[in-house]
Amino acid sequence: MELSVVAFWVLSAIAVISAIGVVFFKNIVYSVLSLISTLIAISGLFFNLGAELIGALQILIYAVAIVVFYVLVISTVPQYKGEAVDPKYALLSAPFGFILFLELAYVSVYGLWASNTGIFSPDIFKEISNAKAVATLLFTKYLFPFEVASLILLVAMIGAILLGKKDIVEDEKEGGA
Amino acid sequence: MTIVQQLVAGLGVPNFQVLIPEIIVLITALLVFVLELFTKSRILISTVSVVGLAVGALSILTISEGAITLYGLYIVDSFSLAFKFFLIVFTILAIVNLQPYVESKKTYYGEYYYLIIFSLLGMMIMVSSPNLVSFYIGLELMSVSTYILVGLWKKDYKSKEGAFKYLIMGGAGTAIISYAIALIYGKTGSFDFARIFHEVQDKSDIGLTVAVALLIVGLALKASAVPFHFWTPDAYEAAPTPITGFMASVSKIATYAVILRVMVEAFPLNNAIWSYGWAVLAGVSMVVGNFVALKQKNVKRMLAYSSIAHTGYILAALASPNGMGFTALIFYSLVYLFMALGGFIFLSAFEKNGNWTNDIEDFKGLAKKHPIMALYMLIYMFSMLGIPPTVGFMGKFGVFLALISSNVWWLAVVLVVTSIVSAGYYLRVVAYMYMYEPVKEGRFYLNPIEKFTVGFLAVMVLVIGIYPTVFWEISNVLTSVLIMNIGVR
Repeated sequence: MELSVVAFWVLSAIAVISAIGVVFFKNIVYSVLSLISTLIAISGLFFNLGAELIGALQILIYAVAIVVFYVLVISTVPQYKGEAVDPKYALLSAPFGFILFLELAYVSVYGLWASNTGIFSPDIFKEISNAKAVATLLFTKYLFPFEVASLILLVAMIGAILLGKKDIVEDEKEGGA
Repeated sequence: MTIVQQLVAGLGVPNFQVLIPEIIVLITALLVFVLELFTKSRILISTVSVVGLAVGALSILTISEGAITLYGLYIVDSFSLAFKFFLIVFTILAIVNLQPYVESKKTYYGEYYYLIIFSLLGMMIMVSSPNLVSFYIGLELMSVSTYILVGLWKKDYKSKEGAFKYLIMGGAGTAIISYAIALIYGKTGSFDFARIFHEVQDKSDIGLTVAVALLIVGLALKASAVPFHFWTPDAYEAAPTPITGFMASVSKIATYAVILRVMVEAFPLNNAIWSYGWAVLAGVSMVVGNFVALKQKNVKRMLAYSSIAHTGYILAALASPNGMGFTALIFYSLVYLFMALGGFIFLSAFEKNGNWTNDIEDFKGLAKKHPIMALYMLIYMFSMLGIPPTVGFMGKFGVFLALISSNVWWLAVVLVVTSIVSAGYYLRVVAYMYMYEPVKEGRFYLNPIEKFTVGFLAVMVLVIGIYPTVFWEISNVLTSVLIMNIGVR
């Protein structure tokens, strides 16, 4: 067996087992730890496929930034609220999970062929790296959405500060002027 | 030359000349943002916003011809220019009425102004996007700014609750739209409407149907069509009233415009899928919106349900996917701006007074105390109900004609019947104003700017109702531009 095939089976086994752990661990901290394990295994799968940029982004964004966010949420939510596995919600999520599975299966079976068009053919990828290809598109054709995204972040930041800060009620001091 | 250099060499400098309105609006927003940090002068902040937006609106008139710029991600045609002009003008009308209202409610923030302008910028990007990426990013800029605006009411639990609901529902809508975009990209390998059209043609399979259905669901959530309307009444009631007016008029029109552009330019030959989807959503919106509005005691909440019903009336035009239907949709959405903003600014003007609670009881005998204002409200109510010679009649009539010309009889019947039902609550406001004696003593204080805005919009509702030719012509031209642009890069 080739080494990449072995790597695929090992990584997917880790990913699936830890994903089951995320759902069924009673202790919420164990859940988050197995979530990190899932995400790292998935990023390993990306590396295995030769998509090193997505693999690195997966670790940077999901395994670091988003998990830190989860930990923050867990530390603010009282322990007892996050303990039990509610069978009602598990039952409710099953059909949605199935639909999502169908959708992903559809995209990966049919989508692959269509999205493999465009200026970046496999030959070009051999010459330049993934990161260069993405950057070329991001800073030419998709420069505009990239810049507007910075505006969205600015607005979101302003909003978070504005809604989160304690109000200094000026108007009442001035008598509603 | 390396391959990357070869790829980049073909790209020129974007044509910034046609982007001048957007640039002016962006500079205004940033200017107000900086100014707000350094000055306490509230008049200065609102003046700068209004002047900046007015310059932006005027600069639209100087752009004579259309172009696609920013490497195919931004289209400047008459369709987007006309919508941008109306969006800016009505944003100005909402902004000038903001300061007296929030000051009387002791909830002034300088941030209102630039958040509104950022939201406006998002809408401007949205209406001129020939590409799913710029459409998505514009929608997101608009939504994120609006979530914050809804929650900006000091120490008011309801406002935070409404904003939270809106955030959750709107976030779900955005997620659904991004699923749809991913499916479309997977199917066609492109984000450009023109490329999508070339790839798809009239082929439709399960993947495309699901993608279009998801796109419809996400956009319907943004346009607050039933059954995705649950955020609307709460968010509309919770927001400061001029902001509600802004959301109910300007944001909605931008959403209708972008719905029209996506559906017509990306999937023109698959109209069997989306016209049926929109027809069902529109029919349900009309029925639910009108029947629930009947029960409302609070006039602000009633107008929120009426805006859901109007989403139904306007989107019903998509059930007839031809030039007639698109013209009716554009015409109705443009004239709906006048009614929706006018109605909410009317409430905001009275709400400034402490003893006004927006309850229907407050309207008792208003005609005795404020005859002119009551007359304006009568015009708005008649117009939303669709009584000639107001413009609401012309809007509904256009949609009705479009529907029967495409033989969508069931929806035309639903439109007429629900319009009759809506008389129950619109006319109740009028009856309370004219047929009861005042219960409370004393007149209400009204600001001259508010009187002007409400009066101007009411007169426009009448004038366009009597002489709709100009607006109908505009809508016709925009429709032909839209149809001409199908498949053009």
